[in-house]
Amino acid sequence: MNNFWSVTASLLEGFWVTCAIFAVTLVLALPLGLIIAFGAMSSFKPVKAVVKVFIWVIRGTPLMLQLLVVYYGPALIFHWDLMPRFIATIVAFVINYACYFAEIYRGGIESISKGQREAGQVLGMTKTQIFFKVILLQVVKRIVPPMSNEIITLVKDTSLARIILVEELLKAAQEFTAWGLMWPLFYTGVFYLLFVGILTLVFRGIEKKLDYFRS
Amino acid sequence: MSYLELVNFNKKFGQTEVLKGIDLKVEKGEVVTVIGSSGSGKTTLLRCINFLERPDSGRMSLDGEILFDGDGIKNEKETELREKRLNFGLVFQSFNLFPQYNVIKNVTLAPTLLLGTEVKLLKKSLKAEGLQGKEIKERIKQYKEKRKTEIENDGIKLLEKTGLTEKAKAFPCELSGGQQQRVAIARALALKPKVLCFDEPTSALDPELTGEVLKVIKSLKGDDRTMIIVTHEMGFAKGVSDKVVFMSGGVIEEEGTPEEIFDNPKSAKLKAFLLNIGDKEGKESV
Repeated sequence: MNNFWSVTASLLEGFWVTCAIFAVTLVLALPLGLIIAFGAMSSFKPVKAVVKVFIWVIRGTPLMLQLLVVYYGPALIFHWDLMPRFIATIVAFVINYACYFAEIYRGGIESISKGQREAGQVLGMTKTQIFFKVILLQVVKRIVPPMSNEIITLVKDTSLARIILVEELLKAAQEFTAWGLMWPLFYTGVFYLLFVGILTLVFRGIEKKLDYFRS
Repeated sequence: MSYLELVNFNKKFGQTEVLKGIDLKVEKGEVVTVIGSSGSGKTTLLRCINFLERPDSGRMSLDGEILFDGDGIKNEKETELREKRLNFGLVFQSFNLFPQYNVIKNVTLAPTLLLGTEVKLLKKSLKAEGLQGKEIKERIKQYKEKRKTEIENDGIKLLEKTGLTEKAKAFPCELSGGQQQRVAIARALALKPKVLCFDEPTSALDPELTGEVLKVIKSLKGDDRTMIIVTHEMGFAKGVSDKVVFMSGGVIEEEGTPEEIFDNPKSAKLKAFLLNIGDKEGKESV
């Protein structure tokens, strides 16, 4: 029993780091994704091309590779000091997730019928007003399901930070294998499942809240 | 000079010439319907008038003011464009109501957003009068409240006019197509446009719902309201119009009073068009 509590305490510490990676990534990647989405939809061709290639590279290579590049790259190429592991994780995660979010935003924005924008135009609205007052909420409603998928994936992807030795949940559990303990690894599943369970409820709530209109 | 004048409107999409030298005059308070087969350029003409498309060349003036001349529009600022657009209202074939807002909010949204611009202007003029910061704030607050009530009341009146008073709090998805289109009409009227345009307002509706929409449009005639209506409803065009314009292949083939157009068509194309439509309507009623 003593064993159980010490494992729990140690996993909780790791879980705290997991939650931090998750939350900070989300807070930064959600708005950055919108900026990237606007870049991908830009009518200025060079910007559009650069952003599209960037998205292709980020989505086309493993997140684990990106983590390694962000962490070791500056040190190996420019001989800079290694940055804190947590910062490297956040940088890699934010860039990676912002690209995925950007594509979801773009799909959502482009799926809104041209007529909505035109209706705003003939009613004398500015571009900003059309985006925020007419388009945005309709986009939000449409992207809740794909966004919840992506955000749930993020919960589990945080475990990749283990590759650059960030003390997150999985690494905390793995350390017990040295003592011959397997069950802490299974125990992490409880944390992930609970976390994802709560998120699922939150997303269901959001979907319900936006259920009052159809677009 | 007529109230609304279009001179030599031309518009190409790629290689296709959609409008070929359109000249159109509309007097104040006049109801003009535009008929013609699909692809004749009717909708494009309406979209050009509403600044949703830019004609490649041509001139447009409204009430003596030139709104568009040649290709001068290309360097226009968004604000100027918006101001010009506000002279016109447009009711779309597919309604395009804002689904996330209820009926009354759909109608009052645009005037409420324009209130922001009004307040800015007021602030400027109050400052120019040399008023103090606190007093300016107070005056603006009063103005805002007054205008908000006005906008709300206008909206309620418009819903009465379109027979939607009971639906004020309903969302678009809870309404029939005919009701949605009536909301769209109220929404367009809320900005008091000088010229109200309709782009096939009943084409997306079930036949049994077209009547209620046409009735509302008919009720708008008079009050000096200038309207341009693109429609496939010949009976309606005959009944409501002061002038009928027949378009074919991007040109105005013939125009005149409803009697001239429907009872005494001159051009071969118009005769063929009317015959064709008559056949179809005959068949449908069988």
